[in-house]
Amino acid sequence: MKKMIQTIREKKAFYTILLLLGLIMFSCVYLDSVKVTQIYDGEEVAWAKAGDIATFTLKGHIECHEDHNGVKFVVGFLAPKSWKVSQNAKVTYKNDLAEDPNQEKTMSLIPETSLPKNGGGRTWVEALTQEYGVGPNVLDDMEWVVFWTDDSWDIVNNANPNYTIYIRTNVGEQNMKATLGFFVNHTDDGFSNGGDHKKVKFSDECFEVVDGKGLTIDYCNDHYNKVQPLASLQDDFVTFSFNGAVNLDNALSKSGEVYLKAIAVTDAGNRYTVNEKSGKTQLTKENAFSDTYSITIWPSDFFSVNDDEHIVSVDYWFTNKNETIVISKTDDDALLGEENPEEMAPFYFEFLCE
Amino acid sequence: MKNKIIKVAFVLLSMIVLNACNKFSATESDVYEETHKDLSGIWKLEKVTRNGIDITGLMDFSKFSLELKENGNYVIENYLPFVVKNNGRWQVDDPLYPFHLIFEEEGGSSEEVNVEIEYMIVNGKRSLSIDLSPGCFSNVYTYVFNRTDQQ
Repeated sequence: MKKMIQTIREKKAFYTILLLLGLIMFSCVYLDSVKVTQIYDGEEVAWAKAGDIATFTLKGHIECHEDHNGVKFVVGFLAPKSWKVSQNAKVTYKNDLAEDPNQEKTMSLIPETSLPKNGGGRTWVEALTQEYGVGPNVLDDMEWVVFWTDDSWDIVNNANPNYTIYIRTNVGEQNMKATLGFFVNHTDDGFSNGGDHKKVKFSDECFEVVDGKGLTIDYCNDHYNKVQPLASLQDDFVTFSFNGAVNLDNALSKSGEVYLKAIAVTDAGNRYTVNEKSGKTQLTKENAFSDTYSITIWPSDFFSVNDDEHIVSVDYWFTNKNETIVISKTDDDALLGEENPEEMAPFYFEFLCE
Repeated sequence: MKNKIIKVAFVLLSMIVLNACNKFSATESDVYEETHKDLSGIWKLEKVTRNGIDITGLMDFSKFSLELKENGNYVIENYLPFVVKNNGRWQVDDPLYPFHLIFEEEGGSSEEVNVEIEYMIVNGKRSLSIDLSPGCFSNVYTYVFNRTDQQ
């Protein structure tokens, strides 16, 4: 009997210690929701008109089981580079710890010299880029921009404050659709390995910019074609890729030989066509297991453009050696269930740098 | 007598040792001089990155060369987008600690182009690294050169 009581006491002590340890260890930051929808004509929509300022809202809470003093709250935002978030965004927040919980307080860009405490010597941007990349997006021309609260906060054990963060930024002039990314953390944690103090969420909807310039750049869906970097001029090294994996039944992938056929249009209105089938135009398979072929060109040289002319855009197609198989934008549209009445409509790339 | 000899020998030995120590107090740091860094030679592209991603294998960058001649002229062969387009004259900002290469294209009217460089030793070879944006300003390329005519 004595032994039994002893065992029960030991167990109780064990669980009490475990509970206390749990309370000490678990101090968590939660990101409960992100809202990318905007209001136009009284309706909630997942798009904004080009040039408008959109508001993105994050809501979350903190469950604090240890004292944190002098903490700055951190928020990261993944958006297309062309939005120039670091220059254009205004970021504010509300929290229950403030004297007036409804007052919007300001956040600022984290200087590059302020490294996260547990980021392994990386800046906040480097840590986020290496950890999460561009999330579910398929194009790389996106960037993480990271802000922190201008004020520092003391959070005591057992405080559970709610917070709301508003990111207001100009969505630029380029038509596009992209999945936006949001990240929260705080300086006391500083990008540690665990997930308790940091959270990341990507928008459920593909956020669109409409009524702007150019064809819609689609960051959300895989296409037959891909161009990098998206913001390029004729003296850049530009990579054109054919992604056969979007439709494994396509005949061009099966042929094993992919060539680029392209027409450059210049500001003088001249058209420069490259339609030879040689090493100059042949795309290289990225690796033995991949269905992606790519070619990197210096456009000025590739199209032999006159020195005093500038390339405005390029129309292009992917073909096999004798051009019996051609993959065009018409095929790509069909893949996404869109109708394109034009036969063999070219893929289009506009040389822009803003 | 024996003790006296031992004492004298000990004092003499101590003087020799102490004197020897003094001789090593020469200011060696005064003797050392930083050597002039000679950047002249034929430089070829070893590595190219675009926005931090290695693209060396995606194009043939091997033919491009930059010859920095001892007489202050430079010659570009098989041109690729670079900080200058035409041949001309070159110099460094500081021969002891070169942090900038200064190019002046021939023709006279053009301005000097001053580019930051990293001049380092990689695998026992001198290497020269230049960051540039010849196309859209948002695209940053790093050209890493190796000198081909010298070890």
